[in-house]
Amino acid sequence: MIRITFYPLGNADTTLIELENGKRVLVDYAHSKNGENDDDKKIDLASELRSQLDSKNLQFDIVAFTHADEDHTRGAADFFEFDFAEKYQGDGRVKINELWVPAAMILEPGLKGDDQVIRQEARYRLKNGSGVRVFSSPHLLDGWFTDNGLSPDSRKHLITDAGNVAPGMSLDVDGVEFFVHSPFAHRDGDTLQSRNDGSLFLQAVFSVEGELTKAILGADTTHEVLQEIIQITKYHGRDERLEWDIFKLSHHCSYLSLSSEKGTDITEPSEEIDWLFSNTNNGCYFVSPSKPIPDDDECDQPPHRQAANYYKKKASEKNGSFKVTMEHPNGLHPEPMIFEIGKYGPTLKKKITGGTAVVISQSSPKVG
Amino acid sequence: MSETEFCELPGSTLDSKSLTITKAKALFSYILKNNTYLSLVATTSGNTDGLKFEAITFDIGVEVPQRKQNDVREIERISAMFYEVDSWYPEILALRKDFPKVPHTNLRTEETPKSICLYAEEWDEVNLTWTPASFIDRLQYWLNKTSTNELHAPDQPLEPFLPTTAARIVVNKAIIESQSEDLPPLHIGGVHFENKFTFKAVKDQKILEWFDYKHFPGFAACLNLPPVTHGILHRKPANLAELNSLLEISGVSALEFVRSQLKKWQSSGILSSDKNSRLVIFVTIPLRRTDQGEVEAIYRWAFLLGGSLVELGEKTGVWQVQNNNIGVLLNIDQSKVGQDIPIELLNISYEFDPIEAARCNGKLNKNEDRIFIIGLGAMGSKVFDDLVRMGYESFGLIDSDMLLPHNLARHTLMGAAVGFGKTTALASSAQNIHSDNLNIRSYYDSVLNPVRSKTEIESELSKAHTILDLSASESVPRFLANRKDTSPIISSFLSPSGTDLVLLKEDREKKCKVDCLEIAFYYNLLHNQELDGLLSANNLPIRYAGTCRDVTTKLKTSNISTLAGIASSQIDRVIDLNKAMISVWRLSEQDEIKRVDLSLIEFDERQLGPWTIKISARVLDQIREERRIKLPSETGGLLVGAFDTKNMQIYICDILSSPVDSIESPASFIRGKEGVSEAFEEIETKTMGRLRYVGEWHSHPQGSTARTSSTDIVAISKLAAVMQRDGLPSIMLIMAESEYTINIGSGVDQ
Repeated sequence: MIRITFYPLGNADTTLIELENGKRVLVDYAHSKNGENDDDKKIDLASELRSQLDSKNLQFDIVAFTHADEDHTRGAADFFEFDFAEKYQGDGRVKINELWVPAAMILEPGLKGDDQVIRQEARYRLKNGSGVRVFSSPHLLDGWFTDNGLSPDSRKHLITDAGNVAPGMSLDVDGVEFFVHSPFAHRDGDTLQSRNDGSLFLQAVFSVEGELTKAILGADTTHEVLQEIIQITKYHGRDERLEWDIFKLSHHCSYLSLSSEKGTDITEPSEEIDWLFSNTNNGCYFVSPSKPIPDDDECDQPPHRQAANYYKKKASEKNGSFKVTMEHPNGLHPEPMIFEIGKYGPTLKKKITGGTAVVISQSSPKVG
Repeated sequence: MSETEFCELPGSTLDSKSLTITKAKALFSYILKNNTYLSLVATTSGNTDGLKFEAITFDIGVEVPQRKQNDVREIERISAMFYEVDSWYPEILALRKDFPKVPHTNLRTEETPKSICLYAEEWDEVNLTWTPASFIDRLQYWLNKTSTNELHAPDQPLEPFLPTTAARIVVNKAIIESQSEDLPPLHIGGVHFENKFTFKAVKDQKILEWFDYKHFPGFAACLNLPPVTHGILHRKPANLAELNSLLEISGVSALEFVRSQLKKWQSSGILSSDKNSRLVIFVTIPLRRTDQGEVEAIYRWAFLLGGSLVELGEKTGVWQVQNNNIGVLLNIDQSKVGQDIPIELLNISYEFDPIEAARCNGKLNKNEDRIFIIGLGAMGSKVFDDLVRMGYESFGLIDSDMLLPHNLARHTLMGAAVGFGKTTALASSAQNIHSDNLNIRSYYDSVLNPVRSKTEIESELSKAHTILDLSASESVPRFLANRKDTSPIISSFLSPSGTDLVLLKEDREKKCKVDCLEIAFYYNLLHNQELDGLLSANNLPIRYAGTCRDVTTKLKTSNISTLAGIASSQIDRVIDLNKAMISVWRLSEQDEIKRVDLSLIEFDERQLGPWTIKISARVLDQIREERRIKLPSETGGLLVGAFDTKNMQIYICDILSSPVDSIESPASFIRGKEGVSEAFEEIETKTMGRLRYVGEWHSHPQGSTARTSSTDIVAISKLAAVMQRDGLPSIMLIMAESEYTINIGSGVDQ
């Protein structure tokens, strides 16, 4: 059974994709739990993911970082094994077979902390010529290759441009393919993209018994970039690449991912963006990787209730659902949001756990 | 979206503190503790049919996929009704008024709320481990799987279930499928056992008499509906008028059907005036998913109508009865619509047949191949019985024995068959299992010397897919091996102690024939320690009657069942495989079974006068090797094998090497005698005399041919003169560098 899991991490993104052939793809990693603070309802992501893995084979087949922002990378330096430096190796660290990053994560100067570690690793793997895939327009990295004494041609196989299916996973073999919408080249030349503009925006297509389910994994894309993605895709006549059954919303349900105007009670996006959110099927799911939706406008930060209202409206038009990671299954005890993908599309799991199952899944209480 | 509408809660409100029924209390507190996907709606109590119940009504979260196949919702409202007497399933109701019509619901007289059938297991079994958690788990599974229409097994009916207490009617599937209202009605009869009725519907009334189905004789009529797009029966009709209105949707009137059938039977004079006579209606409903779609399923229901056939005519307005005379009305009395004709739903069971037999054995299809079984003794009868129940349907049976009382110790036949030919009795008992659906040809005859059915037996031997030789006779496989145009053979027999099973199987191309497999088996007895003692004969026969041949062996019937079971399983497993095999199963005193697979032997065949010599290729290799080692001297020894004087065959499967007292020189060889008698004694003991001395072998030196020298010719005739006393020829094998000869000396020629 294919599973997609979204984790309750506050305003932060981590998506785990488990395939029928046992392969695992992780999109972003943001360990957000605040120490031992019991009031913090966020999940302990590091422990949760580790418990999903085979303790003798701690590895993901692919780990994709959509962009260098701490709500997508937090704690990565403590969790993953990195080949470029010994201090990031061993000690129960989780291996990354193939690291996916947008070009910006190679080129961007001034990265700190986790972002910097990921950048070093991506650069290291790129120099070695394996274990990495960089999403970029064709010649954007040429300068960097030359500076590092590499011929751009010798690394061509590690670069994937927008408008393509990322190599390495296929519908036939793995039951999934990842179509890359962004990063893409600006039309006005080869200037470096700003951070979020250059982030990784994917459509994942799953196939079970020949029946397709589609998910859009939307990084922290702004409405301007989203608009451009739609225009380019439509220009190429590939509307099906913007079809979806599950939409992981951008930027924690921020109105800026829909429009520059927040709106009083509802954010109204452009006609094109509205088309994207209608380009779905009955029973679709909007997933907001965010804190609970507030009732008021006291806080500037996302999630914004106006954006949520827009998504809720779109959901009800399709008998679909709007789900918030920190509100699932309820705000008191958020749990990972698990979708099973089968031949009838996604099913949101609602496990009612009896006592025995709980007891045997935990250590016993201390006895004297 | 419009507001969801629910059916009324069962019973009336009860304060949760007043709950007394254990399971109701347990479920109530479980729901309170698990508020994620469960939420309590109400606690109620009441009575149904005088039984007190307490009901917990709650909402449960369902895992519904995006593209659901049935309209099960993300949240469903359920009432679980627990009865004070905990001897039956709790009633589980889906309270939403428009809950879909789905499989695995119970048929109730009211269509809503739908009654969910959660358990396939008996309630007493479920009850052993019932907890609120397991209940909720099962309920959620039921709802999840119903939303994707994956709950039912492919072979389960999609319509609601009948209560398991319903009476049953047994009918042949092929007959019911071909039955129409224009054909004469089927005859019915019933048996009454411990308060339960079972009916049988048949074409030939005699069958009912055989089986003593004597209650409520009458007719079954078949009403075949045109295809409909949805199920029809979502509640249980209580009388004919209700059935009529339920079926109206298909455009067919059940009432008119009953009227016309009665009228027809009356006018044709077949109507029974017996006041116990009954009418059963089979209603066949082809179901399709859409109006233009293909028919995807056929549903069939059987209804027993209350009252005799005569009363039915009166109550449907077809006739009036005066002074026991039926007066058919010119115009049907349309006011009589059958409201006063109660109807009972019957559970339909189809007669057992080879298809069902195969299915019950986990096989995809019945086996239509012709199987010819030779020998229907203890082992044969058991294997036959197994194959019949596994879904094989075409048999030829041959045995020249009749059943005698002592056979009952081990045979599958019953005492009533004593004095009948075993094949004849087995054929009829097998037809009894399969309601006459088998193709069995039985011959009370001998396969070696047929007297009654020579032509038929010839044809069976050539046309069978496989011949199963279970005759435990040496002569049958020899006869079969030497017969031209014989189907592939599997020969199986038990050791004298009845604790070992031997199975010899020819390849489908018959390159390895059964006689050679048998010789190879004996060869293995000499060389494979795992077979020690297999043919030891310390099992004296016992006498069952007065003549000298009236003896039988002492064998434990349970051992024979065990080993016959293995034989059946193996036969079924390997029957279509091309490869030849020799396998042995040995049962220990502690009833442990060990399988030993034996090596096959390749035989080289040549014709010498009237004799066919079959010599093991391994023997030739061994002789060549001994010759090479002893060069430049000659060497020699003895040949081990068997004579078959009836079929003029000589088998050579083993050798004895040069005895220590032999005299070997470059120009001659004299075989010594030390240890030779002892060696043959051992060979005969281990093989129960099946292998023996057959001749001599010696080598010729480098540069010589394998032709007999003058010395050889003298030796052969000397040997022949001695062997003549046994009526057997003398055999001399000569091995040269690149050739060998086999030379026969017959004393007669001397």
